[in-house]
Amino acid sequence: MKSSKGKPIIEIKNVVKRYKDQLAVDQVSFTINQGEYVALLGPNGAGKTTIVEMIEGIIKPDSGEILIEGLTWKGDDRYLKSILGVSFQETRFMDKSTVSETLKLFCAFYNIGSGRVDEVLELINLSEKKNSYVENLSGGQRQKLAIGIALLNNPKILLLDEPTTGLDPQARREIWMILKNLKNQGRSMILTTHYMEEAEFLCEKILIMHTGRILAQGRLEELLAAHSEGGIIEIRLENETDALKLYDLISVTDSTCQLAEKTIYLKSKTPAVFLKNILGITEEQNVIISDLQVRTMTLDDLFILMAGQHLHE
Amino acid sequence: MNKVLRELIIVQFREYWRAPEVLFWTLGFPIMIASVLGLLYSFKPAENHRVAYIVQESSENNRQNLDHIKTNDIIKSNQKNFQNLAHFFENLQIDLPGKSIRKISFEKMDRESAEKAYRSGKIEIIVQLQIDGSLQYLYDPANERAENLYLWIDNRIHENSSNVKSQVLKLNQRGSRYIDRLIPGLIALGIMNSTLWGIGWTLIEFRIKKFLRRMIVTPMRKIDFMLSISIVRMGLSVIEAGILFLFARYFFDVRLQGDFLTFAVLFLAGHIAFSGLSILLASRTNNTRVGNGLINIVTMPMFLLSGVFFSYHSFPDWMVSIIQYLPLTILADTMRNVFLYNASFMSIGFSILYLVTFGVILYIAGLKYYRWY
Repeated sequence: MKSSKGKPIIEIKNVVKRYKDQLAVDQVSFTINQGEYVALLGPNGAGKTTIVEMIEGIIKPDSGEILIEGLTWKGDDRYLKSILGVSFQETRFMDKSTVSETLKLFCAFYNIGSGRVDEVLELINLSEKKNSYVENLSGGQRQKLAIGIALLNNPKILLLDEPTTGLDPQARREIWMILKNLKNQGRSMILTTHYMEEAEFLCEKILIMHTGRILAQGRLEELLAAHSEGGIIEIRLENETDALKLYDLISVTDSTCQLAEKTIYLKSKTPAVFLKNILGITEEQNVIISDLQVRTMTLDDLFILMAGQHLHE
Repeated sequence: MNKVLRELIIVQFREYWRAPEVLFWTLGFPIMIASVLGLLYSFKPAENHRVAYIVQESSENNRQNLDHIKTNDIIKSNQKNFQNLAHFFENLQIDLPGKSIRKISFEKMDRESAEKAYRSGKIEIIVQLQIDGSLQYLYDPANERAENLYLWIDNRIHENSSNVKSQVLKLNQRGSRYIDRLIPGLIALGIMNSTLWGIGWTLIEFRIKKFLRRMIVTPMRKIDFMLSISIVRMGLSVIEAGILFLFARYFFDVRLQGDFLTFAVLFLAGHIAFSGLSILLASRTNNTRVGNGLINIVTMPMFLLSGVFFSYHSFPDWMVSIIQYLPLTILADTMRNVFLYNASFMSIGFSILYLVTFGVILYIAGLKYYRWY
């Protein structure tokens, strides 16, 4: 697959999706260019999976438009299915089929020769398990198999919905390496995740989502640069009452201030001055600080400042 | 009760309580079945036993016994009053031992009609009044209900006329035994069970595992998937039926009287009918308990009513008029006709058309409402 970055391959325009009384996706628009790795980053319930499933053609948007290579799911579904590689949050395959039999089955769906099975097994580092029953695979190995199936048709677009959720750190890193090695082949990828590190490691473009909306989007460095002048101050209090008391006092003058349980986060252009002031206030109000940090901004900080909660919540 | 145990119990009850459909299939469905069956068997004359009786006509041989008959007043009396006795039985509401209230009606027939009715399951026993005044009972002793019927009739007759001689002739030559009727019915039942549980359950399981969803995002055609499921189940049904038939052939000398090709086409038609039904049943649910209930609600009435084990002709007429159009009834009856009476392909054409049409319509309806995701 030749690399030709820059040309839009997926265009999402003002998409809305509602489930009964819950607005899952609210007027979302973004574009993904060919060869781009994009992360949809957000906590559970942010609307990431709904967006990916609408791109996959599984669910239809209530309004708005989704174009893949300029085509829609109306009438072009067979072609679109042939250029997409999909891995769901959770799929269970046939327990009593082996890994290579499972891959061979999906080869048939794409009308691909079974010679592709061995190539994919190598790509996903699962060659030694080719004759193992699916039921005997570990969680990480099953996820590798799911990614292998997504890669069988050498797709132009990979759609991976939380591919490492629930895996141990080692298995997660293994999958990251597999996906990293697939880069620079001109393939685009959309990855949903609530792991900041995963988005940072794999994707050059990040869309931060919360309650069905995109809060910010851009390259990682752009996102951080836009918000990271000065530093992040994290103040942990002894108890929630103190935290609330201090938050009420700070938030009057600082709109970036966010409270999450017993911890206050805020962004300051002049952390040294702020700290001097805050220590005075805490002494005056008799609130006890149990931990205090000043550091450069991370994606998680950015998310907390925007949404008022951690990514993992 | 410790806290853990209490919480475990509560959490499991909550699972039921918060899923009304599960609650219905777990609690409501058995109550519904019990109510329906209770109504059928308690408030209505549930079974109408039909007994054929034959009055043997005088012949040259019989006339030789005439002197003997004339000398036996009891027999003469029995012979004379047989019609009256039959009339007495016809209108009698009787309580068979250990069973609910059932009606026995006597129908006078000639020998040929009686045998035909016996073979088709419309009657279970033939009573023949011999010219010498004795009675012959013709039935298959392996059929417990026929045996009960014989005992009851014979007791009643002896209550009225203690000197009547009676004799049982076992109808156990091949083709007229209970097992001959049972095996084709069991093959039909096997097709229904194998298809509904096999296809229906597999589809629900695939949906729960999200395997259907995974396949449908590939260019795989839906029709290929459905056909594959149906063909696999057909293969297993053939093996099941083959084993059953070989068993019956080896141990009971049950034979296929009709053409094998006709039987095979009928088998396929039955498979199509129940495949369509199973796809419709499994078209929406992603809960095994709901699926279990849905399949049961369809299979159980047919299992009980379609005459696989006992003739459905003993049910009230209004029920028979419904039962005879159930797909399992059509399949079992037609299979018996092919098995026992060498029915031709043309003569069973309507049944085949009925089953295939039934299956195709439900298949289309099922696919229309099918939930792949």
